[in-house]
Amino acid sequence: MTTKFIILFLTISLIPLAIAIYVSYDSSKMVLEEETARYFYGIIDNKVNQIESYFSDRKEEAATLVKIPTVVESLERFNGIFQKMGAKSSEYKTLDKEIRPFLTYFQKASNYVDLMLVSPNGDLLFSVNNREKKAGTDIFAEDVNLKALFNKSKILLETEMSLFEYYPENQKLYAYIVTPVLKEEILIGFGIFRIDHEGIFDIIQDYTGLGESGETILALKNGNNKAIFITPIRHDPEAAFKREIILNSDEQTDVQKALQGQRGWGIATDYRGKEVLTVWRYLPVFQWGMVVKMDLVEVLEMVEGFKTTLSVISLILLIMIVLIALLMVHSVSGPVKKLTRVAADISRGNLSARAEINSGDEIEKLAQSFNQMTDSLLKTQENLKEKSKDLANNLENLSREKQKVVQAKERLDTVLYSIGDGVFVVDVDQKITIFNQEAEIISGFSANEVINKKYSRNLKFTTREGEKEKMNNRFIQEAVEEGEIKKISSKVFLISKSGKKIPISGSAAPLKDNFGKFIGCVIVFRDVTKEREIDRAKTEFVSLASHQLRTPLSAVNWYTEMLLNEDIGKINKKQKEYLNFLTQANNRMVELVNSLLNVSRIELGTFTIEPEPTNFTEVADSVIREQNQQIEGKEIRLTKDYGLNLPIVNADLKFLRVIFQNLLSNAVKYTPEKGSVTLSIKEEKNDILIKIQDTGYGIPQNQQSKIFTKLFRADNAREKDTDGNGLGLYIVKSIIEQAGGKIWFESKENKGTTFYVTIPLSGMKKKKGAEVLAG
Amino acid sequence: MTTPQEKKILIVEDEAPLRQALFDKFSREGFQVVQAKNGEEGLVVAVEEHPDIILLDIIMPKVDGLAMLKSLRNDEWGKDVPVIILTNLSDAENVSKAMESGAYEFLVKSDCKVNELVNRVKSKLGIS
Repeated sequence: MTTKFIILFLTISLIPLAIAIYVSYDSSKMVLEEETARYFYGIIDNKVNQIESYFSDRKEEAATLVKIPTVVESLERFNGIFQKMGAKSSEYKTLDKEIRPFLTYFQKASNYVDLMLVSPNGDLLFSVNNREKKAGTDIFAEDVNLKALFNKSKILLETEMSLFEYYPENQKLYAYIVTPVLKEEILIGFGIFRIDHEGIFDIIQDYTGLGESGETILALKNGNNKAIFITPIRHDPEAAFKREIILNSDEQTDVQKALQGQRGWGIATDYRGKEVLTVWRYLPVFQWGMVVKMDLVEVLEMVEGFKTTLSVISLILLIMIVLIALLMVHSVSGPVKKLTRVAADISRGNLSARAEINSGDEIEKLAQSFNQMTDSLLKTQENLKEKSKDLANNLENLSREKQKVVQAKERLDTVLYSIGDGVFVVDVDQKITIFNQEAEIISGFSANEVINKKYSRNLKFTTREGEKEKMNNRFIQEAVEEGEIKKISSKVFLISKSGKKIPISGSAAPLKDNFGKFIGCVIVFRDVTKEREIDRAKTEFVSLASHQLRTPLSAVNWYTEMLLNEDIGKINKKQKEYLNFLTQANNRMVELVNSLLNVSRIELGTFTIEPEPTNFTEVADSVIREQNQQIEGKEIRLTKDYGLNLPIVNADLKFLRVIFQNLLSNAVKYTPEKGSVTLSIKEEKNDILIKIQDTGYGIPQNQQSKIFTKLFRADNAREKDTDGNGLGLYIVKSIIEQAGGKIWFESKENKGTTFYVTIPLSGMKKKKGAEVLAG
Repeated sequence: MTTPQEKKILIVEDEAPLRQALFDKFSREGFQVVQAKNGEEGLVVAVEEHPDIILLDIIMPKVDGLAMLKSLRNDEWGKDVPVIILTNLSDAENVSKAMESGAYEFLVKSDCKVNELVNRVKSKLGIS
């Protein structure tokens, strides 16, 4: 953040500063140039003045010179002689000789190129440089300008100076001064002086105020397209009459402009190729162009100095700005850094760290909120510690539980795999989740083949109905639908992997979780091939045995019947009596064999219950009719007590008959003569309640518990009647219970017995079996 | 009105006393009675004599009752003759086998009297 701030600060402050510096530099440069130009103007004007002064002085000089009496006199004398005798006379020569040194002295002293005395008409009377100009020559002949000058002077009677003319052969610039000589205010002649311009060289070469590189150029138009430098210059001492510039070119435009009569200043490139500040003007009097210039670099040296000062100042400013920025930033970032440090400290885990900032601004507020946050963090942390302790405990418990579960599962697995019956478990999708070893052995499938697949894919159960076979997996579905354990019907086969039909026995039990939701089914089954075979063997044996037993009984039955029928001849009373005993005895046997057969069927579970809508009272009446003989024989008073509007209930007719037959015959048998038997059939709650009450011998208390057991006959019954086989009640009880009903009794010895039977109104339970009851 | 004399009964029973009892009884009643002591004989006699009704025992040596019944039913004449199975077997398997093989009725000897038997036969043959 400090960096950001500084950068921002610098950017904000430096840009204006830079602009300011640049502008000030630039403007100072400009100012300087202008100032310099002005200054140069001063210099150039000054120089021009000097030049004009100089030549003005020369004029003065000339004018003064001709006022010297000697000179006047000389002129007079020369003029006199010239006029009378001419320039070639000896008198002239003598005069010349006489005066020459004197005039030469003047000439030399005043540094004239030539000093000439001229008559008022313009005749040359004397010339110091008489080699060139002998007296008498027409000095005006070649020099028109001179003549003009002379005339001007003559008319104005003033000292006049001509323009300088350039003589390339001499590489000199000459001009004439013509001054009238007056004696007593009468013109007697003229002095004509020839001068050069070298007297101004000093002025030109005066570099005062022009530094190291400044110089003055004086130039004269030479021809139409050229200008020539007429003085030596600083950087080219030989420039005089040697250096030329071509007009209308890019050379020394300042000189060109000056020669055009302009006055101005500017930055240009001079003959050396250097950039210069140049000032130019025209000297109309002489038709000269003058330039005062200085190398720009030197001009701007001052500015350079300024530049340095400026740089130093800006550096100082920069440092100040940076310092201020740093200070400002620090005042902000200081607390922020502090806060950051505290935050870092906290994040490392030291929740006791607090930020102490008293900057009195928003940062302080921030720090306060921060501290509050840390306080609550601390509290939360402590809460969390508590919670995590709890969690750790729970975790421990859970892990222990898990351990137990794992152990239990292992035990279960061990148990499962050791169980001698086949066990498999299906889930809600009917997929097999557990398949134990015995199941593998019986079915021929390995657990891997069947696990996680629907059981019906591999395990095919079939039933035999008569000759037909059909798939039967219903026992599993029924177990699930009814939520109860379902026995596998005895007719069910499992088709093994190899295609063998294996008779099985077992049950399917639904599995529910703690909420009662169905989560699967466990099926336990056994290969009962052996058992079935044994059962079949038993059944066959019983069947055969009873057949064998019955055969002689049938013979006895029929023959005694035919005898009693008197088919073969009449029989007497006693014969009849004996034959009756025979019949009775035989009937007992038949009865016994039938009962034994039934018992075996009950034991083997092979009997059928086929309920159909039955009118109980009708069946009861029919049975009563059957036993009429016995009832009337013993003069038993039979009372019927039937409920009104008894519903028709599903019952197996044969069973019902057996029940009535058995109970009624018992009641009649074990009641003494003239006793009473009451048969009541009523609707009671959800059942039909059959009650047979007798006033008979009753059942001794200590034998009541055995009444329903096979072949049991109570002692008093045996005494009274040797006829029973002790199987009846066992059979009746078995049937009733199979059918879903109940049987019980109350009895007191010598008082009587009451047997109760309930058959549910929903009817006898249907039972599939191979057999019906015999007899 | 049909009379017993017009009707012929075939008794197929291996137990001599029982066979005798039946033979005597039905003879006394006036029927024409023929008999056989096993299934093999029974078939021969049946085909020869064309009885109006057959009383057939099951458990017999050589060819048992059910086998004979089956064969009988394959015969042109035999397929229609009413057959009463008269046996001391009472298990449902045999009952259903007998009925499926075309028996008219299935009676357990020890449970029925001869008079009953006679009445049933009479009623089947349309004799009062």
